[in-house]
Amino acid sequence: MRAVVLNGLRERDVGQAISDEVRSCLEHAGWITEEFILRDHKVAPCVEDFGCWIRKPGQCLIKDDAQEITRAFLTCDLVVFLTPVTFGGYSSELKKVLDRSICFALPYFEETGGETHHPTRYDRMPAMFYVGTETTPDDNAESVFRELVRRNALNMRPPAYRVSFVSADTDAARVAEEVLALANEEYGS
Amino acid sequence: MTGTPGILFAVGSQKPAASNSRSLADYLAEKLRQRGVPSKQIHILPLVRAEERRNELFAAVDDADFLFLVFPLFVDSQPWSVVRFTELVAAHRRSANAGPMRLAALVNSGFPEARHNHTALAICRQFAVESNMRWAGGLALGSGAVIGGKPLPEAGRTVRPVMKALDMVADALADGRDIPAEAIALMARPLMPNWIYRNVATLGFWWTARKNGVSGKLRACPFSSPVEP
Repeated sequence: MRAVVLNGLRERDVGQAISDEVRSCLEHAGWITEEFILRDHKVAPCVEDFGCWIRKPGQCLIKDDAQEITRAFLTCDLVVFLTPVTFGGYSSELKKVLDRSICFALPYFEETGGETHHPTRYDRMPAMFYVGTETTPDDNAESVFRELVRRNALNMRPPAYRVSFVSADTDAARVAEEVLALANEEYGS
Repeated sequence: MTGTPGILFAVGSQKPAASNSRSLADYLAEKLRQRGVPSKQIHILPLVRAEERRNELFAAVDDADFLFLVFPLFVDSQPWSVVRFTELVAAHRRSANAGPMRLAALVNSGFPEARHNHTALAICRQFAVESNMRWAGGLALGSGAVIGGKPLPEAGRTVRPVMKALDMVADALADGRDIPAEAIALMARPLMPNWIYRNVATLGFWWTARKNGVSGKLRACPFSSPVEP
C-alpha cells in the first residue's frame, strides 16, 4: 500500500515533526510512503479555464510540479494533508495544489444528498487524513476546518477520512497512530 | 493613509481579465459611487504572485477602512490567491498593529445552491477575527456562471435579483450599516430551478468540449494509465 503526504506547512509552522513520524509509523507497518513538501515545488495557480474538462479531459494544461503531485495524490491508497489551520481553511501552499485537482471531477452536474455536485472522474479515491496544525488551539477555526473537510469529502468522495489537530505540545506519535488506525481500518493491518 | 478612506474591493478571480467576480464588484462599486461612497478595486492574483508588488497590496489595504472580498468558490473555499492574500494581509496588519476596519465578502459559485459558499464565508469571518477586522456580513451567490463575465446590466433578466440585492447592499453601506439580512437572502435565492441550471451547465461544457473535438473523451481517466506526452 502507498501513502502520500502533502505537506503544506511553512518553515516556521508548528508540526514539522508530524510528517516524519507518520511516515515512519506507516513504513514500519509495511507501507510505502512519499512526501511532497509543497513550498519546495513549483506549482502555478489554477487559471479557471476548465481546460482539464473541455480541452484535455482529466489533465491540467499547465505543465509544472502539480502534474506529478496530483497524480501521486490520486493513485495512492492514503493521502495525508498537513497544513496550518489558516482562518479555518488550508494554507495557500496546500490550497494551490487542491485547486489544481479539479481534474479529478467530471464536467457534469448531479444531485447528491439534496445538493448539486460534480461526479468524480475516477471510481477509486484514496482515504484521506487531514492534520491541521495550530499555534494556539481555536475552537471556531477547528469547527470551520472540520466543515471544510466534510465539504471536500462530499466532492472528492474518499472511502474514509479523518481530521486531527496539532499544537506545539502535541505528541507527533499520537497523530501517527491515528493515521495508522485509519489505514488499518480501511485496508487492514 | 495616502487617500480618502473608502471601500477596497479585492477581486479574487484567477482569470486574467473579465470575470463574474469583477462584474459583481464593478456593479456594486458603481452603485456606491452614485451614493457618494468612494471605492477602489484591486485584482488579487497579480499582486500576490509578484513579490515586488507587496507594498502596493499593503498600501491599498491600509488606505481603506472597509475591505470587500469578491471571489469565486474553488474546491469549497477561497481560491489560492485569496488564501495567500489573507495570509499576507493578516501578517501585515499584526506587524503594523493596524487599527480596526470592516470586512465583507461576496462569494459566487458554479453550483446552483448558494449554501456551497458558506464554508468560504466562515473562513472570511475567521480571517476578520484574526486580523482585527469587524465582520460586516457575507453574501453567497449560486449559479454564478449565468453572469458569463458580462457587466451585470448586460447579463440578462436572470441576474436582476443579484442587482437588486447589490442595490440593497449599496444603500446599507452608504448609510454606514452592515450588509442587511434581506440582501443576503435575496442574493442566495436560486436564479432558476436547479435542474434547469444543471442541464444547461452540463450542456455548456459538452458543447465547448465538442468545439474542441474532445466531447467523446469527457470521461477520460489519464491517471489510470501512463501520462500522455
